[in-house]
Amino acid sequence: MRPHWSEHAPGEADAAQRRRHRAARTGYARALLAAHGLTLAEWQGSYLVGNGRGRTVMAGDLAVCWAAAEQLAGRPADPLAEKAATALAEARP
Amino acid sequence: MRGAGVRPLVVLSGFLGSGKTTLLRRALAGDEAGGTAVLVNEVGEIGLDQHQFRHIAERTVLLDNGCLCCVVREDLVQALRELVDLEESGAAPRARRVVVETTGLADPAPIVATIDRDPVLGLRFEVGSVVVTCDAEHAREHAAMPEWQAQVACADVIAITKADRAGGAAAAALGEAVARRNPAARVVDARAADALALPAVPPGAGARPVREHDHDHDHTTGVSTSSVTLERPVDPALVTVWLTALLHAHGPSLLRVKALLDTGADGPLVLDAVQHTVYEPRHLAEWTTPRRSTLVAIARDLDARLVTRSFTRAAGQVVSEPEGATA
Repeated sequence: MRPHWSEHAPGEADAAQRRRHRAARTGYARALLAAHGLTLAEWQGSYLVGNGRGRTVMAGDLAVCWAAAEQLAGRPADPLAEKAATALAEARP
Repeated sequence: MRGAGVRPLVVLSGFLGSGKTTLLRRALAGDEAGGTAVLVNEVGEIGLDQHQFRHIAERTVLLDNGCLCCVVREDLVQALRELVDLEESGAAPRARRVVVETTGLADPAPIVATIDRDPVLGLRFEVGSVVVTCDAEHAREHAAMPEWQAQVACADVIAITKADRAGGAAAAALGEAVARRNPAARVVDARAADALALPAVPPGAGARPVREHDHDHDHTTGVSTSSVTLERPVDPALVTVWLTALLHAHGPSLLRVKALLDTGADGPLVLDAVQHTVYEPRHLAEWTTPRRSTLVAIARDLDARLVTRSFTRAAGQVVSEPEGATA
């Protein structure tokens, strides 16, 4: 099974670049989740999505992350929400 | 990134009687023997026996998530695996490309999803282009149907058929209408060109320049199209996060999201999503269009302008033209 397309960027040359790209993706994902009252941490190559009240769900890639977020918040983390898009813009490294 | 030896799959879709077979016959007439393997529903009509034809019966399997755009075309998996076996055993010549013809009401999205998800086929084939025939003679009846809207949204090439019967003006009007609906597709006259010829660049990269901010809405079908152009580079990490979240939240409503993005690299990043399925994003070697980012969204039961506005806002950019211009 190939990894989810979101877990690698085209043209990544080496491990250091992969780490930088992943860190950037994590930063944006954290901002989008924060706009919906959720938290995001990294743990051993996986994402941990939390609701800030003790519930945490592990996700192997971003697609699973969004499913976990919907499970925790009861609604999807929607980038069409104005506050979410603004949060993404403000998360630029 | 796919490896070497990956062959293109051309998906030929369009309504029953909309001229798919005629187009196929014309396109294959000049093709070398054995160069194209064709998977069709009706073998008898083509009448070109130098090509390898296989019959597929459009069996589909609904996956656990129940999403209709994510069904797996089991028939297609089986037919393509048989083709690979025959070629690898030497029983059939190795085809340069494979054309898959779908029936009139089939949505091409599951074919893209099927290839993408199959561990064997995903390493051997990739969707090179989705070609959709649009019948100028019956344009009005077809355009009111949701299946037609989904096919047009999916298309990389839209071939206008039956222009001789409908008249030049009707064919031109249909060409303009489908270009408004899917500004990223190449619209051709089915008689004038080999519409099955692969584009020089992969799906998503054939996007022709679109207006600064364009919008088209069909109140009959609830389908809307919106496009936006951004002048400054965008961060690919941002786009990845934005798109994955968008597809999770609105996947079934998004008939197509297609973008050619300036990420600061030498060539553009091509991004192409058909409902829930995303083609592997890739960088092209160089720009053949002005260096700036364009994104097209086609949505059903969702205002596509919300998508382009969200993308613009998330990228921290403003659109140079006022929003809401109607095509």
